[in-house]
Amino acid sequence: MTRYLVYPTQAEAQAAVDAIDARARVLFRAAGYAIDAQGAVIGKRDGADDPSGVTTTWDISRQRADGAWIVAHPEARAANDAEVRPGVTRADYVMQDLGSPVIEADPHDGTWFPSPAVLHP
Amino acid sequence: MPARFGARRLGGRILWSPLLLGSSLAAWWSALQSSSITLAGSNVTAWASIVGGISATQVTGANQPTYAASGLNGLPTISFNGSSSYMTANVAQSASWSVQAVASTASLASYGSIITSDNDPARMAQYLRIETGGAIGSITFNTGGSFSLAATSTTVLTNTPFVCAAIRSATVQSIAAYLNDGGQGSATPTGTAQALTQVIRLGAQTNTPSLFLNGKISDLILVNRALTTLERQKMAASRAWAFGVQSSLDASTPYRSSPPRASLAELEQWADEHGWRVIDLAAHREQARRIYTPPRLLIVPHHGWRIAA
Repeated sequence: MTRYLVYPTQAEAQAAVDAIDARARVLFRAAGYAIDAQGAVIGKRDGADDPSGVTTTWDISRQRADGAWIVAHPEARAANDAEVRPGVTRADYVMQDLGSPVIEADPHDGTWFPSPAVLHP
Repeated sequence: MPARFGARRLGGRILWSPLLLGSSLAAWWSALQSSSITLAGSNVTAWASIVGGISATQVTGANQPTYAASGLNGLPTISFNGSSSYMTANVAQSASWSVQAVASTASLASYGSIITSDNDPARMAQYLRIETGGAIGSITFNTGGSFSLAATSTTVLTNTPFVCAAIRSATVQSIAAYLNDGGQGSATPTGTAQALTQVIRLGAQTNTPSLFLNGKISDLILVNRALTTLERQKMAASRAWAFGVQSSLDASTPYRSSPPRASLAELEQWADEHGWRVIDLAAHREQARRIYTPPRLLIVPHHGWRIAA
């Protein structure tokens, strides 16, 4: 199940996203990616910078039904399992400034978010 | 991709390509063209259409799909995780349309959106989606808000590549869905077809992103009119052969044993739209005489052509 970092307020969730983004930029820069003036990671197309394909942030926090704010856990990307140094994955690295956040898995049973009015006969 | 066909040997008429649909081809994303894919690591940040100057994009890292060079039948694909990944594109849409995808799914337990759009963010029309259980479904709305669903009688298998398509005609009031160019499911919409004005989403429904695809999309084509039966068959077979899944095509398709080729009429139409003309060298023997191993057809610019001595 997909896991999320859970915060009581949007401000705290955004602070976590900002901290993740700051460390992610370090990793992307080290991997040869350019960062634009707004802090977005510029993607590469055929090995060249492509400003039309940028990554502006790790996630946009969302408020679930109980009022808490959630941010996707960096482990959600398989590539973040890669180690940046022995014993430290990319996910570990970008979370180093987050302390010990509450981590919960979305049960996908409608308790976190109301089910959409799915169209079917 | 340069729209280039060139001269072919006698009897070797070129393979059919979606490019032959000319201005009807609204968008064509193909993972086979690696130069159309922008990456941040393995995450896909943009996927450029081969035509139309359109890109599907995703700027949020947690929502980006990933690229796999040999992820679908050993060929390139874009992988959607079923919980957060999707892409968005601005494409001019029409009341009549055709759409086709080469895709696969890892789960049949829930809906999987392949490509969606709508006129109203509160609705969830789907150009193409995988129904719970594996049928291919397509939904259209009328201006009164009623919807029609066409779903195939056949179903996909998990982790097995397939070609799926849907065709909506607002003029003869029909919507039909196809799986591997067979299993047709149809519906007869009523009223006036609702124009689609929202952005297109790949991998999720248009409304608050949900109904995520847990699977892969390697090829996606959007046409701004209803295709004819022959065009539909050629488009399905063309992409099936490109991704090596032609044996999955329905037994009714004429292109299981060999890929579809362009007709002279299709070549002429394409050439005309691009300011070129087709010359049948059988009727122009003087020019043909000067060409070693003369081809039967050449496409040349209106302003003339040159043959090397």
